[in-house]
Amino acid sequence: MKPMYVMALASLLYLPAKAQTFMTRNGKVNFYSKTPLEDIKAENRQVVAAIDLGKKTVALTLLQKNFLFEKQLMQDHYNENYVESDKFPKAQFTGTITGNVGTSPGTYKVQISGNLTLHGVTKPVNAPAELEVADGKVTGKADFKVKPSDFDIKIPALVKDKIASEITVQVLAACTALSK
Amino acid sequence: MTRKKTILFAAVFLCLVAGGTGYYLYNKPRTTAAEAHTDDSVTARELYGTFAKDEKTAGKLYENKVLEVTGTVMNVEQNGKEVSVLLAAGESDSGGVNCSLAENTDPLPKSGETIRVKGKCTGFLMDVSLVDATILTTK
Repeated sequence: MKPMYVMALASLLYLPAKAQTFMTRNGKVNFYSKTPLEDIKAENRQVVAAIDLGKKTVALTLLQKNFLFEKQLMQDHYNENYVESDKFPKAQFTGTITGNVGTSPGTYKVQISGNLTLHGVTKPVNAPAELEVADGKVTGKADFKVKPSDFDIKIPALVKDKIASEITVQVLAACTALSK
Repeated sequence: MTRKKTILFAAVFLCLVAGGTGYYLYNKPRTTAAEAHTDDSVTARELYGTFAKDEKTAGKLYENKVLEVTGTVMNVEQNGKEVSVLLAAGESDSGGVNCSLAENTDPLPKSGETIRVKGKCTGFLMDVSLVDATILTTK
């Protein structure tokens, strides 16, 4: 049985103006936590992303367990204690694009606004983004900050000084035109 | 006095061992799938089919396991040093098994080739996800 988020993505993807719909299953989301005591970085290379230039919508979904850390213990803590990946395996974002974006090749500075669901909590997110339109390809880039506390993610007091109160999230999705 | 010294020495020694173990565990690099023992071997068709049919049951069988997956290459995507290989689930499905390779591979597999990939299964989105993957054989 296909899960709900796949249906939501499919509904975004299979609407009219298919030529303006772009997607990837290998988008990238990195996040960084920087404190005087420790820098933490994690990378997820299997983000499913869809951009519809006609409807000016964007959707991303990812598996929490696809975030890879340098240190094993950090990865274990992230999945088991912080985002509780077995309970909340996916994170997703759906939003709209504001600003001028065309189908002709070029780089367009836009604003993305939407809802981020993480750890079972949904919060609005607004971020400046860049859409690079090339022949048959749209590459979306965005940076924004997320506060773990906004998503009910509890950081134990023992490691509080090692994890930033605001995490920087970087999104890079090189989407290709849907062939259908 | 000697007994006190022995106890003190033992306590200091134990503290050092505990501290050293803690430091080692804290800084231990992530274990990649290539280094880990293979838990199960399966075809891409079977793996995708099990997840598409019942994600929960499939999750219990395969999630967090190191798998060796055999399948036909449907697509290869390269972004700089990062390579992702999509193994076909079958002729009628658009999804498959998406393998993020841990390291660049040369030569890259080609569409239509049958390969065996070892990686860690992390769940199901559009495809079954395999991360930290390494190509074992190409036919």
